[in-house]
Amino acid sequence: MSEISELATEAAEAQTVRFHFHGQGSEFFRIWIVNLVLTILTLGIYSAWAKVRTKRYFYGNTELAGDRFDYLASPIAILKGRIIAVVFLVIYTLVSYFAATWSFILFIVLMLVMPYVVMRAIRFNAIMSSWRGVRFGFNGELFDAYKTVLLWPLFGLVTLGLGMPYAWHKQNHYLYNHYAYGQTTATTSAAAKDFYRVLFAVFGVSVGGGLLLSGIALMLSESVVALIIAGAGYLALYVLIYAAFQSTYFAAVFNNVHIKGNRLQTDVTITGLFAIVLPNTIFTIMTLGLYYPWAAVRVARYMQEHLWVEAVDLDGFVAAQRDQENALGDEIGEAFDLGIGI
Amino acid sequence: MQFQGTYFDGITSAGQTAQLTADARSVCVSWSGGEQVMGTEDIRVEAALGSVPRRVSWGADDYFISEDHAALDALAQFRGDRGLSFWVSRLEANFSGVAVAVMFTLATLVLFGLYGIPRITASIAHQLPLTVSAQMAQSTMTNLTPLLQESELTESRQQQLRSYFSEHERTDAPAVDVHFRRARSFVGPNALTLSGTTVVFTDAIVELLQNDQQLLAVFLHELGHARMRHVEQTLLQSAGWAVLLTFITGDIGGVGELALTLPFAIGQSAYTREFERQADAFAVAELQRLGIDPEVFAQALEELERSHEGEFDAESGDTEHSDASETVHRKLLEYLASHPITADRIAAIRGVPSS
Repeated sequence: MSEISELATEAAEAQTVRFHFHGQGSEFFRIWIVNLVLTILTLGIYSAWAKVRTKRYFYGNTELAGDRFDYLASPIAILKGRIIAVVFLVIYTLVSYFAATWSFILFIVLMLVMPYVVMRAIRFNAIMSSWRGVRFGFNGELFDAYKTVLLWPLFGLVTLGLGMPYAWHKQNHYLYNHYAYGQTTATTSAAAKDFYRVLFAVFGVSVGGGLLLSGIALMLSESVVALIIAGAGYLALYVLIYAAFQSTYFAAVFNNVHIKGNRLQTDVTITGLFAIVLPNTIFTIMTLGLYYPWAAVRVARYMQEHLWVEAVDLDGFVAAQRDQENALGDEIGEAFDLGIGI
Repeated sequence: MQFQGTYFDGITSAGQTAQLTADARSVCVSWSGGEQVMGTEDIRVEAALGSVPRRVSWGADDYFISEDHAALDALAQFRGDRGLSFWVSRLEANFSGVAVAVMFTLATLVLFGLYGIPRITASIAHQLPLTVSAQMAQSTMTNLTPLLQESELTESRQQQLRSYFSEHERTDAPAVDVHFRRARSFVGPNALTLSGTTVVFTDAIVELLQNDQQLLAVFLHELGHARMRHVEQTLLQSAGWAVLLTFITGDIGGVGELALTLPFAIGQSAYTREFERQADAFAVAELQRLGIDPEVFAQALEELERSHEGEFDAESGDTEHSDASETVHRKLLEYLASHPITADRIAAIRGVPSS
């Protein structure tokens, strides 16, 4: 697309186009429980198919401008990656329990391989996601991956967490300045201060909630009731900190992404997310995990109903050329919970 | 057969309203810009996944997508589409299939948690070479360095206790190493088993229990843990749960993970309580074999309990409870505690059923 028409689209009037989530807890429960049974019966082999079915369910129920998203990965590719990841996980767990020195060496090796794995994982997930028959993509470089995944978090640690928001900012930069839809690369205008806001929110909520909790604990005498109240308070505080982090981070990222003049916007709030996640957590614990499908659907619905695009043109994207991908990086990344996601 | 949907060309993000017409031999997808005609055997209909719109594709990047599930089902049936995903869809749609799945999952998890994991880990733990246990004890000792300083007991006292213990140790397995350490005050009078090869006594417990037979009883309890490889089993159990949970939940993430781990963590402390009972039974049997009255073990536990209560009394003056709340309190503690309540343990050692 030429520069002139790009300017023309930017100048066009933006329309608000909201995301909608169509999934239902009872529907997802059936899918989830059947996945679980087949995974148990096949001693874990089916888990690759289960993962694809779950992701397809969530993508396929996400609607933007009348059309759904799609997840296209092949279960066999995921199974291969998952086998390697599990073998590595077992070795790593055993070694770290029984030979601490060796686990340190293994940890260093893991750290050196991780940036590559993370980069591949992001790429794989992007390419396997599509909307309106056009796939997403990721064109981040390996050298930048090393800086993003190793150097900046290390800087965050060395500065005792004070530099961590800056590391998040760099990670976000890496992710959303190289994320693409079809041939068009996105850009992010997020600044470091957006991520410092995340740190302040988490810090404020932790200190405030912690003080409140210890205040309540002081007023109650030592009894079973007090023990239960303290336990519930602790759980609520944990969920509140989680909600504070998730919602402010989500806002920092998604209030700043734009692609070809279309801007993403969100009004997710700490209290809004807390009101969803607290009952989710309580019911999930009380039902020994059986409530999980409803919980997952409720969170997805909340996030998506609070996400929209200030759209100028959603029809003019063109698909990119693509090569074969394998799931190796993706699954190792998953098993070790590297936590970079879209 | 004819129904509506959307056509995407796989190149641009602009969809076209389209219509699919099928007869016995051919399928035609038509939209305002053109049409695609194929043999019925050349298309692929996606199996249902909840109420997610389904694709009709033909091996190229362009496709037709529709929410008309009745028509799509009819088309798939007409083509005789089978395979795994259709079978799974039917299972998901079937109420009794889902009910059986729920029962099966819960039963498997409970049985595996209660019987599978303890048995598997016990048999692995007993086959681990002692060098591995020694290595483990070494790393734990290194990790605990900030808490455990050099003992202030005299060398001769340490030596005397070591030989006293080893004289009374069964010789059917290599003797365990006994270490003495001065621990930070909150550790208190205590003895720890680090692995199948190593036991640590704090100076405080040696000073508290003036009677060496009581110390021997405590040693035999720790020896029980060591010989039965309880520490190794605990570590293997948590590794086992980690792998199992990764398999089952896959992409659960976040708070969900915490929610699922919590019951297992509590369950794990139940395994630990079982280990304590086994070690107590081992100590009592050994004392009887040596011709020592197990009463010394009960006295040792009472002595330890008194020293702990002393600490709690210093913190809160409130020790008066009505009997009912006492019982509830104890049951709750029992459920959460990794050690069985001492009163119950003492009662068990003396052979009196606890109330």
